[in-house]
Amino acid sequence: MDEQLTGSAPKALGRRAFLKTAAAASLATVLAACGGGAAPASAPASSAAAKPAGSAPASAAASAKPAGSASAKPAASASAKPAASGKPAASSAGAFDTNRTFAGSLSIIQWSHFVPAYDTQYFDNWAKDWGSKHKVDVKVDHIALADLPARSAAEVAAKSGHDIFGWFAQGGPRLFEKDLVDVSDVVNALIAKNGPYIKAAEDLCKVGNAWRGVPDHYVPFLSLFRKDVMDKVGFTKGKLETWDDLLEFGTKAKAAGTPVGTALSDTSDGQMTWRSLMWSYGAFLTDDSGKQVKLDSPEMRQVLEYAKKLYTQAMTPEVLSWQDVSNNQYLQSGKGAWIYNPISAIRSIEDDKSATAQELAKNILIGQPLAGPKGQHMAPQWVIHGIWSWSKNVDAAKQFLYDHKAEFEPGFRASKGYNMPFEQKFSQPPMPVLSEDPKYAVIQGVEKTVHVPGYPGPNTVAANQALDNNVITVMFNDYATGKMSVDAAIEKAVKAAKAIYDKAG
Amino acid sequence: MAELAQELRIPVAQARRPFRRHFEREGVLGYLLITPAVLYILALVAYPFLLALWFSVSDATVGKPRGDFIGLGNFQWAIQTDLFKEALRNTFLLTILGELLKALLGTILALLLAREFRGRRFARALIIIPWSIPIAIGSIAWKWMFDSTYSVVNWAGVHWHLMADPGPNWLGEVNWALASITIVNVWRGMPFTAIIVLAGLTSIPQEIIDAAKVDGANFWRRWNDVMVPIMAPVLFIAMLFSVVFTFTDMTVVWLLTRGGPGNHTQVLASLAFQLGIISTALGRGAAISLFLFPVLLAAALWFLNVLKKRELGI
Repeated sequence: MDEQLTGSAPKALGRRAFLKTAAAASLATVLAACGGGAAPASAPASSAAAKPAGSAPASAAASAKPAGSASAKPAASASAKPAASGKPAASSAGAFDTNRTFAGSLSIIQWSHFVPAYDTQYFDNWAKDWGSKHKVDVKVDHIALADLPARSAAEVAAKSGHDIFGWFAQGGPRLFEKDLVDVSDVVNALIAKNGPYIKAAEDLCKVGNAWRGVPDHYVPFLSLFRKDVMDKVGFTKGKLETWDDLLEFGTKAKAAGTPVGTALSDTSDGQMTWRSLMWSYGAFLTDDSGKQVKLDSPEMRQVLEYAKKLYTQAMTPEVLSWQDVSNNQYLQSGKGAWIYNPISAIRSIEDDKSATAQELAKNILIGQPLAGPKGQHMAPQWVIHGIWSWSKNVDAAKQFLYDHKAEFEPGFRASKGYNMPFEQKFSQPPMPVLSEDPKYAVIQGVEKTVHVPGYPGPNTVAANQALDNNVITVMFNDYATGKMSVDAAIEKAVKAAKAIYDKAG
Repeated sequence: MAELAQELRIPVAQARRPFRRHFEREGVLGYLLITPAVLYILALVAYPFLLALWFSVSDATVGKPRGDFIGLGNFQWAIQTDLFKEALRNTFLLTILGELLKALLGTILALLLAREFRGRRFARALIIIPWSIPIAIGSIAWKWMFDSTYSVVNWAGVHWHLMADPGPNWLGEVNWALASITIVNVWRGMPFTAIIVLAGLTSIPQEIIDAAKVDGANFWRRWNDVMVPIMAPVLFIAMLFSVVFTFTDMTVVWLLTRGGPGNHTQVLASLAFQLGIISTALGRGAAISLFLFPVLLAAALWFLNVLKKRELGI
């Protein structure tokens, strides 16, 4: 009391003073954050340096805001404004003069390629060089393909993120039509330069009269089989042409200790494999209109019976929990006599220089998609790129996509023949890479078998949602494993499909 | 100023700092200090909750977030869907089974750790590791241990003649997949239970335990009639947290099985994510996730009510 009256020096920091100081400091921090929060903290990427797949999630998170968007100078051209949707520019290759320069930054997100050399030795370097030439800061992020749907949903919800989004076996243009820039000018310019696409490209990327995605490549599902096992079990045909061939070979191979394998789980591989089987037998999810569910058919029952035989006679239960990479591992382990997969599985074995792997690679041959009573049909995976409507560098993004697809061979070589072209011209034999090795030459001509989910109808929003909700793979799993009768499995799938298609209208 | 202060008998320091005096009042400083927490809850809990409520009664999708009002259509659809019913069943099954195992094993562990033995501190530190490491890392490690081709669990079991070759299909068969999820859940949550029970045990005055022993009470009598009643408040709160965490957990399910095989291990949280985000049907995803809310609210209120009655001696 006396000290207070005489105004003597204050006491040492007490509890009340500490709390007041802490509150003031917190308030100051919040105010500083609010005041300085206009500019994203991320510095512009100096180059599109290749990022290992393992670091992709961190870099993807860091690039949630367009890299350097706050620090980019306004582009000299009109690239700062997103293109008005529904008004394609004049489709002229001249509009995509490869010597144009831009400014600002460009961020791209896409999957981590199953042939890693494509990312690390080609695409990322190509993007970096493109950026240097066109005066754009280019940043490429790679994430696991299974993470792409959630990532695209997040970017749409936030209306921010990358400029270019690359979908893998997902229906980006259909699902996010209103959030994607009309890229008809890019596609028409590419068609003018490289010729028309196969139908699948339009099915995937064109919504109404506008192209909302630029087709990049598709990935065919092929038979990768062990010739040495064929010889050992006396499968004299020497190759697999039909699903019945597979059943015969697989039964013998399993008895000899090397079963065949294809995912009976909810994976992208499983989705495409069972669709390929269905279509080869004339069984479909919908009718030609793509609106009426048509799962309950005699053909579907035939297909399910086949799948059950294949599982029980030729495969082992481990396929029930497979991920997309599991069949690659299965073949690589030497355990599997056949898988249905793109060629990444054999390319990774070839890249392993050990004697065991080289011997294994020598014995693995490739076959075209298997045929059924209703022909040879195959559901591939695919990569397509779209430009988000909130991109601040749409012109640069369009030029990037045009330049990326204007040339075919360098990318195809870098992927070691994995990235099959949508362009009809580039599919004509002799194709680079494939025609140079007799083992891979058989892949040529596979474009004739390609259809996309929704076939025989269009690739609608509902078709993509049915893909995402595992309607087909669940049905196959339920019946093949004996959990349900064929009628119950089909009824359950019909109910699940109708819930999607009725809502879509 | 000093003369005026002296006249009014007001301490000089206070007279010179009326602004600071204002902030010394509990009614002002108190609210200021809790404001950040309130803002956090409003921004990151209340707003998303209200948004989810709107989504659940609309046909919103990721591509069309401003959906149209459709009433209870999403809830009606969910109730009629076998997938939702199975997810609901799995959620309750995994929670109840997991909590029982965590309670039992956690208590046993706590009783062991309460004893004196060499290396007790080290053992206590080790026990906490499953709880402390990020759930994603733990789940991915278990995923590899349960892998259908490379499972180290199966390899060891087969080589030690504990199981027939090739061993269980941990993630490929429904019952084994549910067991796998439970194992990872319990492995992760048991340390939390053990630490809470251990804290409760060490807070019981030793004289009370000794008195019970002198009175002839065996372990079970001491446990039921002495220890549990004293630890009850702590146990109830721990159980409430654990139940809520388990009920709403998506990470373990998503990383181990993604709801498979054949969607048969979906729980409400993972199904809501698959429908709402992966399949872009925001409305349906929100409706499924909101089914958890009344159940958890009722559970929380019940727990707290029981606790309150205990405290009041009712």
